[in-house]
Amino acid sequence: MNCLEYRRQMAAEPRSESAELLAHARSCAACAEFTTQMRQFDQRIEAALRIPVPLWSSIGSITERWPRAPLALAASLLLAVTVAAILWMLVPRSSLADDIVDHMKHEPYAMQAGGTVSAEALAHAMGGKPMPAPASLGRVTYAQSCWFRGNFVPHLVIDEGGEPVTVFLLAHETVKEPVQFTEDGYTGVIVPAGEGAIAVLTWNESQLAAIAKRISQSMAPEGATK
Amino acid sequence: MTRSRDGTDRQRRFGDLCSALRPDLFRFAFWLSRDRAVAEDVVQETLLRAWRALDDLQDERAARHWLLTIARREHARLYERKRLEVVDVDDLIEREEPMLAAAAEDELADLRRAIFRLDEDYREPLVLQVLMGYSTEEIARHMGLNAGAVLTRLFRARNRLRKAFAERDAGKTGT
Repeated sequence: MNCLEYRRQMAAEPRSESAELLAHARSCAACAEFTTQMRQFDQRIEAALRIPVPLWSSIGSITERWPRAPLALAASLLLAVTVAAILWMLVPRSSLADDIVDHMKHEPYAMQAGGTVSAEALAHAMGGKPMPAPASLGRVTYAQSCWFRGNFVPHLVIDEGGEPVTVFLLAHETVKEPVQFTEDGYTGVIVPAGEGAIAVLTWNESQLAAIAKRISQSMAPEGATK
Repeated sequence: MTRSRDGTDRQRRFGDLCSALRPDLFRFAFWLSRDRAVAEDVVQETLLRAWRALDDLQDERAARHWLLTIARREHARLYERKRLEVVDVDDLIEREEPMLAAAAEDELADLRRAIFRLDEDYREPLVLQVLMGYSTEEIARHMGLNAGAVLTRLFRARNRLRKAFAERDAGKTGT
């Protein structure tokens, strides 16, 4: 295998570990360097392809959408939309916690992030939205701007004495009073903060209220702290 | 009673499957269509068909490949059925700018725009390989091509992206 063949192959399959390719890379420093560059570029491509994933309605909306005839389909769709609209009007906040936990399931790796997020990356994730005082957050290990309920919202993970704690800054949501929830192993609380709300989730329930209070108070408009 | 329990089990099995694979499905459909609304339609239709045909899925390990195959077919069907008009790629980029720009770094957002500009023939194998971890042979089977054609497309896709980035960097340094 010559260098040209090697590079053509590597540009098509940068992660290939075929014996023939490895043997060539060992004998050619320039091609080994080319491989490193291609693999780094491929990591960038992978990161670029991982766009934020929006949330959907529940699985039930799929499984219940399988009636036997077009008329029944239309009727059940109409019924489903009507029922959903009524439920939405009656209990407008009941699904916020569900949506948050659902979102957590789509980014399971977020809780495992170990490094410290740079101030620049944090500012980007905030997208110009009101930000808690940095001291109230401490060390941020994950920061992303996530598509959530029709808006991009900051999704942060902070390090709380070695435990990962997830914080969603929900400028577009309002809650009148703290709402606590436990679902699928997550314990969380949604509290009013500034003009919107924040959600805090952790595996350690005893810390929850204190963390939520600390962050939400740091976001309260001047003169409105309780 | 048994039938009801079977139905619940089936629904739970489907729910587990969807929770795990929806992000992949959405990303695949998005990069295929370059349109978030179309991608959501494709995912919805794919899951509906998957629910109807769930009993055909014997091996859960094959679920992702199964769903992506359905999604590919649904995407083609959607374009055929709705006769979606051909849209200029710059308009597509402008329309999906919030999604493309939702990255921590400018470089990543630029890379997304560059991937948007790739022909579908190059974009699809790239997504399957890089994001879904498909081997060349699996991509070939999925797209109905031979392995050589897949390798050529992957080579050209990366070459175009690298070229776009070289031009971007040259533009930044003003050379």
